[in-house]
Amino acid sequence: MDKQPLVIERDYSRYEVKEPDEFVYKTKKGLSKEIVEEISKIKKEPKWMLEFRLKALEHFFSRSMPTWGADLSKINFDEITYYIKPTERKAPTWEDLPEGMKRTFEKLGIPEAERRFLAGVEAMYDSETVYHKIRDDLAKQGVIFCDTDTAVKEYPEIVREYFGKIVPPNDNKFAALNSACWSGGSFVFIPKNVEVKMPLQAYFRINSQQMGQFERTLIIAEEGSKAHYIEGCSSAVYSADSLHAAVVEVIAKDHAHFRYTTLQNWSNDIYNLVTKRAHAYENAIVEWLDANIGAKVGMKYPSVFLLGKNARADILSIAFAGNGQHQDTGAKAVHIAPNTTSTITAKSVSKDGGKTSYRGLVKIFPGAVNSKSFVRCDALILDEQSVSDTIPCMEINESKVDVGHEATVGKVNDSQLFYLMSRGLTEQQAITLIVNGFFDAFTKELPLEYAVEFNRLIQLEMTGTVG
Amino acid sequence: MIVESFLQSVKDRNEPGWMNSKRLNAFVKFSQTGMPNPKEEEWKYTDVSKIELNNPKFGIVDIAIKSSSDKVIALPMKEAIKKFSDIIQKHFLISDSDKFVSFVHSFWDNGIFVYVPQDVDGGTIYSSIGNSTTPTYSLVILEKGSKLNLVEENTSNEDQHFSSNVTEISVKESAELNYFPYQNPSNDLCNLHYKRAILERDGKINWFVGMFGSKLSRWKIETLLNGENAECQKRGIIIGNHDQHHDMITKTFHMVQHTKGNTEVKGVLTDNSFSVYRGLVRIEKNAQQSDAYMGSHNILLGEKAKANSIPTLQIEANDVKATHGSSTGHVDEEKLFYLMTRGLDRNEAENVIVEGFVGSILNKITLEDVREKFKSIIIEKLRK
Repeated sequence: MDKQPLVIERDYSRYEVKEPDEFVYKTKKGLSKEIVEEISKIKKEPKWMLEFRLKALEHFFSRSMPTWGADLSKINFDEITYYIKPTERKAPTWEDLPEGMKRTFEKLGIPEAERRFLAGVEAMYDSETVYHKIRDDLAKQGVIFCDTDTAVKEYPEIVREYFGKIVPPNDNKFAALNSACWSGGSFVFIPKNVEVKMPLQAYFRINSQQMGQFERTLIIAEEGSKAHYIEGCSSAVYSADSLHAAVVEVIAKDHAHFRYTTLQNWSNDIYNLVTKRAHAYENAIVEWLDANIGAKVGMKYPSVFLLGKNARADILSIAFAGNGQHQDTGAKAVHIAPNTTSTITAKSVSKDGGKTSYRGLVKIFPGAVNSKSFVRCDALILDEQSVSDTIPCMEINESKVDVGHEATVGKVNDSQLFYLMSRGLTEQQAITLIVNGFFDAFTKELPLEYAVEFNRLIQLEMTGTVG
Repeated sequence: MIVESFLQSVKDRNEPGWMNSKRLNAFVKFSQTGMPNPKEEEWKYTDVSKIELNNPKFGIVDIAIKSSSDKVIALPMKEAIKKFSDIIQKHFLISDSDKFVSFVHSFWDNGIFVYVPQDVDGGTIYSSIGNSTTPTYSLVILEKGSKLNLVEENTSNEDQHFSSNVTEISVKESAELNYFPYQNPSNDLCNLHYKRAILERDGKINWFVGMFGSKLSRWKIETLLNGENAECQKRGIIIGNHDQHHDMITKTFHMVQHTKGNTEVKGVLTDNSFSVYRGLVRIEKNAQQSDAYMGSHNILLGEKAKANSIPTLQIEANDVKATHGSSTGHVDEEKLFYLMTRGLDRNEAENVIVEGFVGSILNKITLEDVREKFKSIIIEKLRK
């Protein structure tokens, strides 16, 4: 068969609602002590937070860029605007948002989703949360879901107890940058034994160009609680790159069950450098479902520290890299307590010269007896231009454990393709179907509406014609 | 080390001019390069800072070679460099990737030289290197269509030293080498080896590597599959007891299409011993239709035993099959209990399980006496 290359272009039109720059305030380009002080002043923060920011900034300046992972050499920290305030105050209803923002979120379907199946919504636009709401019955049970800036003012004791404790500012260069410049993000508090049945949703939108979005999310799931948090994101498309460096901290106390789902769909001009980490205590379950479809460069390794007996971590990491994209993603499971379990499943697809890398760590401390960990990585490479790396690392410092790892890298199975095409599908349709099936482990875990959205995203990615 | 005394030593060797200049270049590199740093990924888990490279106490290296065929050339490197300078020059390719390689390059004194002419079945060569701090350089050349079994035992000549070796192997078109290097000196020593094989089309190499002895040992084993249908099988056994530290690196580079690589390393760690296995399979862009497997498996017998593994795949081509599997665990108590009900004591029961575990590699060792040797070393090491 004379095979011709797939011509694939990413159709991002649904997400590319570019509104004119709407903001009430922005700092000047570049990063300095003054800029950080200015951000803190605008937010009217307590002194401890300013000190936290400045200490983190010092660390950011002193720390060198990571030499491993994706190529970050093109980031120009001087050309980035570190804070853009889109509105004067948060809108109590969607109607109260400025027109452009309202249009954006409506087109993305967020208000619609809120009405239909969400327990709460937070919407962030550039540097600030512009809307947040939680269902009244949940608020009455003591569930808190708001932006982190509000939480610093209204729940200072809780914030101060946990903020920066899971991901300290000196954890890595971009955690330090976030700690210095953070703005927005979600604060979630689920009280003891409360189960939030519908998902809580956060949506992050970058509208301006050459900006840095540094949302900061802190989640506390008290003993025996259960909740599911979903975040989505997208951005207007520009020729100059923007930076998104988030920090997410999750604490799952004894018997808590927390699921965190990410559908990362940035445009291909965003550097997505995110630190996500959870602490899981006795019998707690933490699940990261992490899908990375967009961004120019992504470096993200959601991790779980298993600190209490019988704690469990399930991490599912999906990556899709097209032309000009490098998804350097993976996961970390750190077993500190006995009888802890972790499973990591990573699936990646690269095409049109894209690159996927799985980078992971399983570390078992002495004394974490009867720990079990299993890691599975599969990579599909769809064409000759694309590449994939698998870099797992296992540090086993305890003998009474079971640790396993399996990985495969290759192309779409010829016999599957032949079978589907013999049934009348075009090559394009057949490959799309196979790729969707490859990601099945992820989509079947999503709420239905999101599964549909995800499949559509992949289809968009795969749209093209066989010439 | 003072430059003058180095220059004098080079002069005293009475070697061909090209080798003198190689040594000089290497010495310059050696002087300019710092010790490997734990910040470098490949040295992250192995601390070599205590090894004294700048003022080494050189000793004697003993080489013993026994060849079953008179059609092959097999002799100590010290003699070979004078008799076969041209052949050696053509195959001496090593580049100074770190301070240890430059060290060997500058100061090597002896080693093994093997040359198998075209279409010759070289039978089996048994070689033994009695190491000292003086480094060794070995060169193995298999001409087109030739065959060879090469057994290489690494022992020790002195009580206290670290030994280092670089071995270069050239497997030409359709040649086939079975190579059995192993080390089993006492647990007081350090040894660092770097072995690299380059294969031409239809060439084949089977590595059977045994890492048994030494306090600290680090072996880096590389294979370049430079010709179509070249095939590399790497099988390794790591046995650790007491405070031993084993570091094994295997790298397989698929440079052209239709190449095949298979790596399987098994480790058994007792007491406080530690092992790190770092594997790399790299498939280059034009190495389509290549097939690669890498497996690393460990059993931790000692409560304080540790094992790290980093099996990395770098895949630049799409029409390939690349997989790896890895596992680390302890011996199943139920299995032990079963064996113990059959009258074995705990140690014996463990040995039975270990034998089954490493058996999958031992059984593939094509030379019976090497297989028996490996087996007896393993049993001896695991005896409590």
